[in-house]
Amino acid sequence: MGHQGKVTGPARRLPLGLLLPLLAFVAALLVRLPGLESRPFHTDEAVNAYILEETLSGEGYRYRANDHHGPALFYLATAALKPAGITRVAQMEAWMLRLVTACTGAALVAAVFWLRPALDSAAAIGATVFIGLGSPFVYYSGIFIHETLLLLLLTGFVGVFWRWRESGAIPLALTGGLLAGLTLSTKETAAPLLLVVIPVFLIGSPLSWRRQLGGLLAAAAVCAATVFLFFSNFGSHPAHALDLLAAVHQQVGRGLGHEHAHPWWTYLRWAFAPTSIGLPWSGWLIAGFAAVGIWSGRSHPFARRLGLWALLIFFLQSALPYKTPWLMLAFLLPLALLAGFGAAAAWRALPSRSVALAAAAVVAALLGTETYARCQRHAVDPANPLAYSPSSPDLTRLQRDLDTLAAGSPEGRDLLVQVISKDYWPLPWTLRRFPRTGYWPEPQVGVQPGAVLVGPEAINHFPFLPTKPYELRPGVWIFLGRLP
Amino acid sequence: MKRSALALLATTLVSVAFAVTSLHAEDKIPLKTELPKPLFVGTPVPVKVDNLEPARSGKRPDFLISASSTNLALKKPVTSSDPQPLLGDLDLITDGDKDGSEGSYVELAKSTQWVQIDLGAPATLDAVLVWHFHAQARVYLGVIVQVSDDPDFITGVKTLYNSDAKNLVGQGAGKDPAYIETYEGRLIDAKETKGRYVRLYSQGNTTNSLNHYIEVEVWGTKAK
Repeated sequence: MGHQGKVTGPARRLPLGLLLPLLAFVAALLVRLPGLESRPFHTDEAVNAYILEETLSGEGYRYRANDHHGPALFYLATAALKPAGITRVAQMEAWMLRLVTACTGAALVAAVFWLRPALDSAAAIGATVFIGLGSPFVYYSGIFIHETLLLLLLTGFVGVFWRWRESGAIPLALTGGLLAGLTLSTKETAAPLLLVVIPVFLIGSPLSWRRQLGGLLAAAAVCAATVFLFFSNFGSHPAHALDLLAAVHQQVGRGLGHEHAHPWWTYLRWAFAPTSIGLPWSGWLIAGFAAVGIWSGRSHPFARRLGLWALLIFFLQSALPYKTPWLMLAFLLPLALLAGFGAAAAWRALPSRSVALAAAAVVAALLGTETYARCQRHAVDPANPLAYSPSSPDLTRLQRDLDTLAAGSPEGRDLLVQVISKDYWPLPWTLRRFPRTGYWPEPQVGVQPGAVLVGPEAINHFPFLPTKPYELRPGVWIFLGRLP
Repeated sequence: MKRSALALLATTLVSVAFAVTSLHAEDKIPLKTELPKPLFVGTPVPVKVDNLEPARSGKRPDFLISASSTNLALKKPVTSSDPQPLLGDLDLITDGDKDGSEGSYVELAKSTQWVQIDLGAPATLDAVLVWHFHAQARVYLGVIVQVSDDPDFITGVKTLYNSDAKNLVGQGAGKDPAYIETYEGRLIDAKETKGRYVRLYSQGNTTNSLNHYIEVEVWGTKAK
């Protein structure tokens, strides 16, 4: 009997071990699917779509130090889109690209269960609710940027690193190195994250310093090789990998510079301040339950390290002038995991299961209501702090009017479209199906017959052109005219 | 025989001509000009301005002024809270040049700054036109235009325009809209206000915290 028990025990646990992450993934994906096509396409997404085209069309990835991050997202999207025959931006739809990040965002929710050696099941389930339903996590899963992939890989790294710090197994160190390399190949902001996370989770390791050093060196070698392979487009452009080193100075300069400079308390405002679209419940609930988690898990080694991770990243990011709301996820992730500890403690402390279930339902309802408001109804409302420089719904009107213009002209889609402006993004996405589109920062000599889109700074060069204004982003306009 | 030789010659000539023509046709390909591709950019900095006026379609409607009205500010002396501008000279503000390029505008220091024009004598004003900068689409913050007979603007101050919704300049909160700079300049209705001095405030812009002026025109009639 005893023997049978040993056999059937793991066999019963295994399906549950897979079922819970699978359920979490599916549920999180369902939350992330609505609105993937309808929300206006952000400038960063539009730029990413054009960089993706280079990878899809076989041109290969080329690292650009100024703003455009690592290739991991583009390789992932290439793997997803290329089998469908998509090689050009003109073939893409918004939902196709956003589905990639919606999946990485949903996988991040499921990845919480990867941390289960350090996180008990109740805490893991609690954390999946905050990450699965919390508005910042849902919002940035729904736009084609690097953030959710970065966090997914980072979570994978933390799970591996925690296992390695306990066992010292070299295969774990090598896997950790691979995951660290992939996070760095996703976005440069992985570097400060890893520099915080590694020492925080290394402190108190039972391994001898020799084994620690050996494992870290092995991991660093794999990490460096991964970064080199990814940034050099798998060895075809070795010099591009070196550009990453040259970019360190530039990235530090940006972090300390005036661009996107906001006061130190900005992350607190974005996460907690009520706006005209309501109270940010996710910020308050995650922080509130994380506080309970710190208290209840004060003797838990993983919980303490999560608290330290969140605190250090919050202070580091708040101290830097450069701030964008998606960077909040770097400290909201450990806080949400910590909130899982808090939720588990609250569950146990409540007098009965029905009361606990009712409380959980209230938390889920508050998170869901806020997420619906911020990610659907007010997704591009300037009052929504998650919507940073959002593209305007007016672009739909512009697209419709251009389609009408093309339909009425003998050239059809081959209509010449001349964009004359210093600030025109995300227009290249809107105009992706007009192959004869050119972009000029200044008015050029001899504007040709066709559609002309002019920025306000250049409109004095076209006094003869009747134009209609369209909003690209709040406070940024372009004027459409037609030159016969 | 002679006829066949002629036929052969003719056929050969036609064939050669056809071959030469074909060769030329093959040499030619349609001209395809490469249109400039979009240049990649980083995350755009948000333009967050309270009460921003929507862009207008077409040219500005005509604004009626009295027939005797002239630009009283032309070539008149200009003073400023920043007497030593970072770029240009204060005289550029009333020199009649509305070009947007460097050399035609004056750049004043950061934060709240003002410029003041002495019209030389009290006048009845119809309109003030101001061009801050129009080489790039941007909004100047805290735009306030005031008129007074007091050069220190302590007494008898009348405000013609105030887009400082949050009273950041300290002249009281205004309800006039913020607007995007264009080559047309901003036309401000002076509503026949009387005064000798015109003062214009601003508090940086949506691109940087500096203040700029290309030109200011003050249309009106000198008091008799």
